[in-house]
Amino acid sequence: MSEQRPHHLTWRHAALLAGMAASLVAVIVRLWQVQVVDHQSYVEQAARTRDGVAATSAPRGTITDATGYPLAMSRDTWDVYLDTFLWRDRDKARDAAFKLSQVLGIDAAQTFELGTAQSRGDIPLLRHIPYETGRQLTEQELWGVRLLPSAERIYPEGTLASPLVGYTGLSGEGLWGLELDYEQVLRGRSGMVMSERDPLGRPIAFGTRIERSAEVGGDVELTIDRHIQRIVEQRLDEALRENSAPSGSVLVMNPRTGALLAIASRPAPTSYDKILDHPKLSSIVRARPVTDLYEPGSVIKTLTTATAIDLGLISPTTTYIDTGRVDIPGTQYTIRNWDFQKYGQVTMTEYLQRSLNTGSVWLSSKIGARDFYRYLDTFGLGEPTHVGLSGEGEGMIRTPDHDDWYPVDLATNSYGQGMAVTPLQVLTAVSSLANNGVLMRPYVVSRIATHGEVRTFQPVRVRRTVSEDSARTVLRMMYEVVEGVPTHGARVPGYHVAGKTGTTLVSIPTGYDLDTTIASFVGFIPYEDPQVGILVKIDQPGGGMNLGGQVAAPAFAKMAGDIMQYLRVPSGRTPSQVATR
Amino acid sequence: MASAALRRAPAAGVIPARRLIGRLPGAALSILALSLVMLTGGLQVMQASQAASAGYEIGRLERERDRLNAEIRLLEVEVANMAHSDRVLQQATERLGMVQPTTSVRVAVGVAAPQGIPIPSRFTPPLEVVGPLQRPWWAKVLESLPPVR
Repeated sequence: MSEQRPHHLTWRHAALLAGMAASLVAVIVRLWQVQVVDHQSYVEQAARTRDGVAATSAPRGTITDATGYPLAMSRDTWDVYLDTFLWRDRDKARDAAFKLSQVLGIDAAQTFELGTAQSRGDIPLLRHIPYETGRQLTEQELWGVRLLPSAERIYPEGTLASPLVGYTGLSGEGLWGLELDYEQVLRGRSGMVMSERDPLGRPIAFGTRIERSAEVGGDVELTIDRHIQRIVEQRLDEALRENSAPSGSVLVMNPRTGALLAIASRPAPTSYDKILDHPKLSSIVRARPVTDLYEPGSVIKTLTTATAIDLGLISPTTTYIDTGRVDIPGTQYTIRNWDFQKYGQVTMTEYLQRSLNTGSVWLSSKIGARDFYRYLDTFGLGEPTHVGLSGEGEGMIRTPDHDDWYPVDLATNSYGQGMAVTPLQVLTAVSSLANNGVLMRPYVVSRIATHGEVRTFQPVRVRRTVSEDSARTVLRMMYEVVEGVPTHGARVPGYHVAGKTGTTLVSIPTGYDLDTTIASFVGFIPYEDPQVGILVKIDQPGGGMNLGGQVAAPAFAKMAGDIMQYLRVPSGRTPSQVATR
Repeated sequence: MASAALRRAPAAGVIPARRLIGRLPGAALSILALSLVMLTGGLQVMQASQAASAGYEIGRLERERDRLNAEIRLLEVEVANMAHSDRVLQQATERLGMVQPTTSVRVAVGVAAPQGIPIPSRFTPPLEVVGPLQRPWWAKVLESLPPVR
């Protein structure tokens, strides 16, 4: 026997051992791969099988006006989905479809057809069903019907201040306006509950549970007053209708702080129904007073006058001889008054009252290009105001530093032509005259309250534009512009107004269209202690009247009167001047 | 040394535990062990049951909290809709019978009007009150014509 069994390893033994060793190595390698290399992947696979994840909704924050009234808010709703995999059980699916139709008032056959059209994945049935209805459905635990918490954006005041407030899309993200600009603040953070579940998908009570609570979005409080906004929008609509004008803008600002009380522009959305399909969406959803540029016209004469007074070159009683036309030296250009009249010797106050272009040219020649553009820069024209809204226009002003600047630009710029600025820049600049010569930064958001943090925005003083004396003097001259002319369209019964009209021709590629104008007016009320500054701009009025004094000033008077009544500002007139209308 | 001896010697009448277990019959020991196991198991089951109950209660309370939060937000929407400008106007005119004022009367009380903004002294010469602007003759002619539509 011993001869038959060798005491040493034969090649067969060696082969067997080698085979076993190789198998062992293969097993170890595979084990290494499963346990170490692909560990995370298998853990995740197991978790997907075992763990269930449920999202908890995080409502979007609220946008409120200065009175605390919500202009945009969210309402809890549910989205209904059909689990087509479970609906392979046709009897149960039919029963669920019938019960769904009873609660939601939808067609049972169509629902059944929708849920059985495919055999995998979830199909959305309805979005934004009322919260209570969704809760009833949840309690019924219908076969293959999933309800996910959702939220619907509500605009309680409808389309009021729509271009400013903005809108959200289906997924709840801001698409334009403040909804987009403050997306990071308004958007909440969805919560998540991950828990171990049994084979039927029910949470295991004492299994692993990881929870991240939902964070409600932050709230944004505006300086906009919804009542003033409504007054302004109604009066703007009236003015556009009366003057057959296609578009217009109005800004209302507190000149002391820079807080914007109303921002209105037309055209604007009239309804949110199918708004995303609107053919001219981009033109109706932008806050035009902030984004669009225009030639401000004679309103700029107030700044030219303020510059000359601040430099000590003139006083309100300084006179010049108006010949009705000025030839620009070295050029073939001649500048005439808007009414082609000549008035002889006129004071600076009369020049502003009559809005004489020749007076502005005369002033600009006294000021000089260097100082004129330095002051325009100080007034903030041609640069963003940093109001905190996206798409703000910067403006375009040529200066002697630019290659395409010509001396005639100084003359035309002095009465607001040949430059492009935003209405917001104009109102901000002129408001510095009503604020004792201090330029304030306009702002529209006064407070942001996020999770555990509240940020309050205070008025920001940008710089001094002119001395206090100069500012008061020009404001007084603006008062004479309105109150010195008994028939002036901007007069408001019971109050004193300081203001200035502006009329510009609409620029076209070949020059100016002599038939179309932009009529505007900037005014402050009451003159004694300006509470509001209002800029009214009516584009291309076509009702037979096209001057700022004919179109924009009356609109200003109506809205200013309403705003004074709403703000309960005492009358500025002495008893003998009290008017009844 | 004496105190060490005392520590080692058991007190009179006291049986050491090891010796006591040795004296107990096997059946008693088995019952004792079984009782301990059952007690431990019972405690475990009770604890698990309480944890499960607490888990379900937490889930219920969370759903209740979510429901109440949602209801608060729904009520806020309702309040906003109630205070909507158009609704207020509608209630004022239709329910309360209020009408828009046709005239506005301002009554001056015996209080001096606010002072105007003082003009700097360097501009002391009083401003002349400017009358209505002189309008060109053609403007009057144009005004006298019937409006063009």
